[in-house]
Formats: sequence, structure tokens, C-alpha cells
Amino acid sequence: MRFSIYRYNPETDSKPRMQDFELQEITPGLMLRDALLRIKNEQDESMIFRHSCGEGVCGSDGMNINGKNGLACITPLAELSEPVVIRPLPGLPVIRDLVIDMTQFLNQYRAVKPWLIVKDPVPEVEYTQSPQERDKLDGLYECILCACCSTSCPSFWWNPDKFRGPAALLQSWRFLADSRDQATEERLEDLEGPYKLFRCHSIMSCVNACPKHLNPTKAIGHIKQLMLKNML
Amino acid sequence: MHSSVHSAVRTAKNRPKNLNLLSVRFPLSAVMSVGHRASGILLFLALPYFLYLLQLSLSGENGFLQVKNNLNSTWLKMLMLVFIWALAHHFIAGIRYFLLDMDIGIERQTAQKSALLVMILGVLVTAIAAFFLF
Amino acid sequence: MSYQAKGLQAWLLQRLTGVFMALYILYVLGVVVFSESMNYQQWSGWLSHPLMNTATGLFFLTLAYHAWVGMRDIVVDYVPHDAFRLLVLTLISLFLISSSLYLLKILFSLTLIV
Repeated sequence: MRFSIYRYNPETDSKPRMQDFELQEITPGLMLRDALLRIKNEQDESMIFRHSCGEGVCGSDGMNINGKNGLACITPLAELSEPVVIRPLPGLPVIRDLVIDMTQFLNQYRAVKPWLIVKDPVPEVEYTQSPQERDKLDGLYECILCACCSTSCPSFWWNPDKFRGPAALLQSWRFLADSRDQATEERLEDLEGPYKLFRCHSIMSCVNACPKHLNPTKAIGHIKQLMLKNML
Repeated sequence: MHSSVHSAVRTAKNRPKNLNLLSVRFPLSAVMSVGHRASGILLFLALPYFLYLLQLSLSGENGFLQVKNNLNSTWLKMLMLVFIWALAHHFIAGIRYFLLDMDIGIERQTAQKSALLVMILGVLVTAIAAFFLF
Repeated sequence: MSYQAKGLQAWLLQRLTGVFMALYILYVLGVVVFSESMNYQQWSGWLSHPLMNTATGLFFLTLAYHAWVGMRDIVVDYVPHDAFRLLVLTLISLFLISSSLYLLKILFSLTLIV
């Protein structure tokens, strides 16, 4: 099976290049991560990429695979057309090979204050929540911060420092929707202006890219609806 | 030690980004969205021309006939078709966005299908207009 | 309007102006497509009728706002935040304002003749 992989070493390359590899004897059921590790171990040790759990829950090995963002460890080789073109996630600075600088992405995540904010005195036992209220967090809490969504979003490409991006906004909604959170007004105010939230034009590349099948556009729509409700 | 380091060594401030748009596979909803943006720009640029046509058509019998006759040239008809596509696509895509705002058709599969439908309808309307113009 | 309100306000008005324009366009298309070919008298008569005249004026004002928000979104995406961007935005708004005034003048003078 043939692969074409994005290579860049800041110490030796003035610009990135694509390098071709070929793997023989592909065992059935192999995932892309397995193939990349074989290439690294057998053919070019200098090729690096992030990876960890191997089962699609840590979010480390997000990359652009044949043009679409995804997690290498849960992408079956059998589903990929040749040559398999592997590039780093788009729009973020490349540190080396397939490793990108996640700083801007993580800054936006931090900026939405992704933690519960409670003003009442701490309860004796726990913050209670009914099963119906808990259901509202489904489709929101499962995000693994792999960055496949935000790096597929053209609006995020053009303004990664000003637009929060789908991942951070989905998390913002996760806390806005949480019945235990008491900072609704502040969270909504923090998202005002033409940039932070409103760079989203429902292009929906994010929904297409999410390996956990989450829907940031829907979450962002709910934030807009809540803002509207508050205004009226 | 022989140094093979290029003089233009990149620093952290200088890191490249993977933004080769040709290497990205855009979903249908993104293609439709680009069409929405492009059609918007086309309509914006067409404004002066249409204002001129309107003014001419209201200036008197002569102006009115001038507008009617001009619209018979093949050249102008082609131009009209481009603007008709722009209006049709922008309008129909606008309806889809409006529905999305109300959570209608917001699920992954439905959204891609509706995007395709919008693009097809835009071309269809243009084709029908072409039939009447030519 | 404060900078802060511009996000939600622009988004909402973009939708509302869109809806109004959609209705107007459908109406005009309906009349133009389904009625017999008009002559000059019918055309200028139709547009000088007070209701149609006002609606058309409103249409162009809402169009100017809708186009402004749309173009601003595009400029903000692609033009870096500097003096050049300010220039582009200023030119666009001047263009839209003058187009609206020109159109209003055409519509108003129509009501004077008839």
C-alpha cells in the first residue's frame, strides 16, 4: 500500500515536502496508526506523529487523511484509497512532520471557562441534577479535544486567535446547558462581538469531521438561540 | 562538522501551516457555503448595473424600450443567467440557513443532503430561466 | 450601538432583512412572470403606487443593510486588521449608502410625475 506523508523538519527543511512510502503485506484489520508505526519503525525513524491510546478516546492522533480530518488509530486502512495522503491538521502551525502547535486551540478552550461556575454556597453532599437535566449533556461532554473540528473550519483558519472555534464553543454550550452552572449571563456576554461566536456561518465542516459524531453547529445554534431569548 | 542547515531556518514564530486548500476534501455543506458567499459578492457587484437599468426603465418610453431591447442581446442574456444563478443560489441557501438556525435539518446526514438539494435547485432554476431567455 | 451588541444584532437583522426581501422578491417575481408583458405606463404606474413605492424603498434599505453585514463578514475573514481593512469597509459602506440614496431619489421622483 502506498502512502504520501507530509514531512517537515525545522532544523533542515526550509519548507515542507511530501515523502512517499510503500508498505508490503498489509494484514487485514490494520488501522492507519499501525501503518504509520510500521513505516516509522521499518523505514524512517525520523518521521514523528502524536498518538497514545490507540482506540479513539485520547484525541492525540488527529490528522488530515486523504483530505479529511480524523483519528489515525480508528481509521481502517481498508477504507482508504491509494496513495494514502497524510497531512497535519490544517491551519495550525506545524512543529515537525505531523505534529502541530495546539496553543491557539487550547487558548480558545480555556477562554470559554470550561468548568462549572457555582455562586451558591457549596452543598453538603453534592450538586443535584435530574436524569432529564443530565441527558442535556449528551453529545457535549464526550469531546476529546482532538481538534479535528476546529482545524476543519475555514472561519477558524482565517481567525484562530479571535474566533473561538467549534470545539471551544461546543464546550461553552456544555456548561451553558448544565443545570448546575450559574454563570449563564457572564458566559453569554463573554461571547458577544462579531468574532468569538459569530464567525460561525454554519458551514458544518466540523460536524463532518468529528470522530465522536458530535455536532458543534447544533450547539452553537443553541447558544445563539439562548442569546436571542435573553435579549427579548 | 558540516552544517546542512539552511540560512532561512524557521523559528517558532515562523512555523508553516498546512493550508493547501486543494489538499482538503470539503463536504457538500462547505461547497454550498462558498457558493452562498460567491453569489452574495456577485449580487453586490451587480447592484450598480441593476440600479442603472431601473433608472433607465423609469426615465421614459425610450429608456424603457432601450432596456427591453438590450436584454435581447445574447451577451447580456448570459450575464443575466449568471446573476439569476447568484440570486437563486443565495436565496435558496439562505432558506436552508434560516431553517438550520431553527434546528431544522441540523443533523449530520440531513445537512449534507439539504446542501446538495440547494445546489441542484439553484442550477435547476437557472436552467429554467435559460429556457425562457433563449 | 456598542461593539458588543454588534454580534447578535447583526446576525438577527441579517435574518430578518433576508425574510423581508425574500417575500418582496417572490411577490415581484410572481407579478413579472405571471402577468402579460408590461409597457412603460404599466411599469411606472405599478412602481409609483404608494404601497409598491414604499415597499420598494424599504426593500433597498434592507438590501443595503443585509449586503453590508455580508460584505463585512467577508472582509473580516480575509482582510487583515489594519488601515487597508478600514479603507475597504469605508468604501463598501459609502457605496451602499450612495446606492440607497440614488434609488430613493428615483422612487421619489416617480411619485412626483404621476
